[in-house]
Amino acid sequence: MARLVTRLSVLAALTLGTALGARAAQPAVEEARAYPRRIEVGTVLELAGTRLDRAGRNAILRWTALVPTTGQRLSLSRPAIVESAKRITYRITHADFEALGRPRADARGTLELVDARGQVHARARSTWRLFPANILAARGSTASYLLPVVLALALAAFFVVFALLYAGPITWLERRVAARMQSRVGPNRVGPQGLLQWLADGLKGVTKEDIIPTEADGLLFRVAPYLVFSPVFATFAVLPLSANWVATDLDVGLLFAVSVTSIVVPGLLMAGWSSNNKWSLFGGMRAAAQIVSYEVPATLALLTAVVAAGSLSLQDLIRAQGGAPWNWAVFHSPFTFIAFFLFFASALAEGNRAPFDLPEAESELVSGYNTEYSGMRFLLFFVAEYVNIYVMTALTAAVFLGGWRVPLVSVAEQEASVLWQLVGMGFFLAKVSVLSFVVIWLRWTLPRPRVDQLMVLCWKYFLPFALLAFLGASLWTLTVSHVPALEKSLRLLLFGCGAGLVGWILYRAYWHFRHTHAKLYLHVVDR
Amino acid sequence: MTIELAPASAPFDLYAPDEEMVLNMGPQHPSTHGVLNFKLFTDGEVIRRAVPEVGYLHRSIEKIAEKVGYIGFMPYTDRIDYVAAMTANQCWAMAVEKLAGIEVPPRAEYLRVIAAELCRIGSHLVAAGAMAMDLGAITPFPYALRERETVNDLMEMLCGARLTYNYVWIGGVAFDLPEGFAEKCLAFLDHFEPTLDEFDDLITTNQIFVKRCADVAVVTAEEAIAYGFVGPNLRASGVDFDLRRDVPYSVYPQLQFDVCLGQGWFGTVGDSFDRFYVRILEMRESAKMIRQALSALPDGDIRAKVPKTFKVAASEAYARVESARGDMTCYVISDGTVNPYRAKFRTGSFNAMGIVEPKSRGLMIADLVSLIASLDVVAPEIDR
Repeated sequence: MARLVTRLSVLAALTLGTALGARAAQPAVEEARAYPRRIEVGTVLELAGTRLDRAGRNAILRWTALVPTTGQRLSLSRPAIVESAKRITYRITHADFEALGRPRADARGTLELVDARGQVHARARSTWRLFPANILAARGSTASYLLPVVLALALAAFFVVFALLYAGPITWLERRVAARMQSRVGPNRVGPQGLLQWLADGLKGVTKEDIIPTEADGLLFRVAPYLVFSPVFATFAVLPLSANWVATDLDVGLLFAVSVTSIVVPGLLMAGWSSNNKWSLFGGMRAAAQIVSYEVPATLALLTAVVAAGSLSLQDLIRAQGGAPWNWAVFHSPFTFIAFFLFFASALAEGNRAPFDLPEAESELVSGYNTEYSGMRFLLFFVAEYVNIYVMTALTAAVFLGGWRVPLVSVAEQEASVLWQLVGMGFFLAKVSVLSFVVIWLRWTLPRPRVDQLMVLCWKYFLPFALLAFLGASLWTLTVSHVPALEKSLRLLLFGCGAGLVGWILYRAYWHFRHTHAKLYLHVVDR
Repeated sequence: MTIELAPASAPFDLYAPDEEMVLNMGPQHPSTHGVLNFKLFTDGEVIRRAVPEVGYLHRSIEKIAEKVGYIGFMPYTDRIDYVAAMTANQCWAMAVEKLAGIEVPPRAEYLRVIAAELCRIGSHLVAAGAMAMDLGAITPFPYALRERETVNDLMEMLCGARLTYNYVWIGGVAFDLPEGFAEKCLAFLDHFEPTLDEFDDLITTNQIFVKRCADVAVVTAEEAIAYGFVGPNLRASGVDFDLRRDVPYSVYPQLQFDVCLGQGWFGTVGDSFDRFYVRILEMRESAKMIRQALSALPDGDIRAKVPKTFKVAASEAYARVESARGDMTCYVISDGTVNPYRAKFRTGSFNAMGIVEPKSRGLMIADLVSLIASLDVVAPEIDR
């Protein structure tokens, strides 16, 4: 009722205004700006100008656009919300997308502000990228609120299972690879080649007695593993598996991933403190100092790719790269090339992986912050560590190594076909697996630096280099990227360097395999 | 000679009593290499004082010697230093032989040297591998143990035991070389010497490893002498002293070998890295000695005629051998009965413990691990 009264009064005022201003000069169409460039269900379409309130309260936003690839014409006319004289907005609904025929396309056109009489007050020309619905958004009726919840839960379950299915076998892989490197055999009893060893270990962990030391701070001791475990899993909300295969494509996805993983720090501190064990406390302190420090160069290194792509959304970051290796962000400029290594090393330090595993350095701190933990709670720390390998390698692959892009296949083709999406997922998981192998390889190769050396490495070397890389990448994007021929040739040159580096490492590995003096079998004793 | 116990320029007041954390590193701690306790007084991660507490593994071995007789005590000497048991055997045998005036046949002396040097290789492999593992590199350890496994195989071939040999007997050795031993031993050495290069590639020149060891806990030559360092630890500090050359025994005068000294390869002479690398170099020298001893092995008896129990006139004897952990000394007093009146062993590990307290000031916990590992102490050898 109140709304009706308002509308009537507005109408009355407008009629009055029109009558009074009938002789006023026709206003010129104001050139305004339209935001954002990406339209999804729930996107707030915004027209920004200077004197947009002149159109009156019941103004209409008229959006007309052409999809160049199909020739399809799209148009929407919807009542606008006057936020201020400078801002007119409208929230896109499911119904709007239904009305448009749910296109997934790039469209070019105008967004106009029209008053009640059909007079155009402001106009903005732009291109938009339309996404009919992401996985979380319900199709059809806007009234079905339950579906998103169910979908979200299903997705969460899917990713937890996915993460566990990754973390489990990766422990087997790690132990086998480590054994091979150490001229041992490794677990080979449970299942074929010991493949089910992780299940046996997991079951053992679950069935073990859960011991809470008498002198421990019970509450913190119980909470800590969850605080370590949950943030690592939370990153799966934005980690893409393939084109369209992402729980939610946040436009600040990278920021979310980076910030949510820092919640691990209080968890580790709590574990270290509540155990009431000095070695645990040392482990917790080391972990906190290390993660907080290395977060800075890691984020700066990621930003180099962000300035190159111009987006914080992980899917956009991948779309901005090409399928061919030389079109990956790592070869975008010498600065992203450096940033790639900086990020990878910093991610190792953030994940407390060797050679930066000081928080759990067994020869110094027994087992670090998880010394007093047993059973299920220990398992949570353990699983978090291995899931974290996936998180760090998936981030590296997505941001620097082309993510799910397949060579010679365009983004549009990948987004349109399930087959290409599955192939893209294969590419992505292959990259993740190779990087995971490198993580394992490093662990079983390198000794551990001292805690002060670790901090020196971060603050004296990584941080300045990351800053330099960030500034350099920004300048590069502003200058070299505008000269396509130069950019292309430098990319190829960098790719050559990268390929040479990988080739050299592989040659070194091959050389050592050839010239290694494996175990000598003298058969001195009959057994 | 004066010895500065505290570093000249401490980064802060090391002796401020407030805010001190007391930590027990051991007796069950991964890097104390056995039951050994260090009481650490720390300020955060920086150690103000680390006090070694020895005695957790004391088994009254010297007292046992007074009860079981000269021959019966031989298996117990294996337990003095189980990582290099052969030299402990040899030390006791030499002391008793001196006491009783027993002449050892030359072939037995050669066999003793072959066995002792093989054992030294095995012991230094454990030292080097364990040091790498204590500094976080886990992979070199299995590589070192893999080679030691072959040494153990050879030992098993020689005397049937893999750890506590009881091979050296009073008056000679227990068994002659089995058939094919020399060939297999040479095959092992041919395989082993290039493996050391591989080990160097794997860990010795690794930058992180070097940074962890170089200039850490530098023991000067004066300090090394003052604290009674022996063996590789002494030589790492640049003191040119090796019993095998300077106080010759057995057939060592007939063998050509170099005494390896710490050079301060990546830092200062006498730092943790030197103590580590001197052992690697000594393995090469041992390999050289085994080759020479095998080629010069004379024919003849492998032990003198020694009765099962014998009485020795009241006298005393003193024998020194260069064990893997340095100068191992045995002092035996006889009162004319079948049992020794008193036996005393002086071992390298016990003396090496003395340096921990003065050197630990201002070190970080991780450095202390590096120091202990580089000293290559064996807990039962400290306590006996």
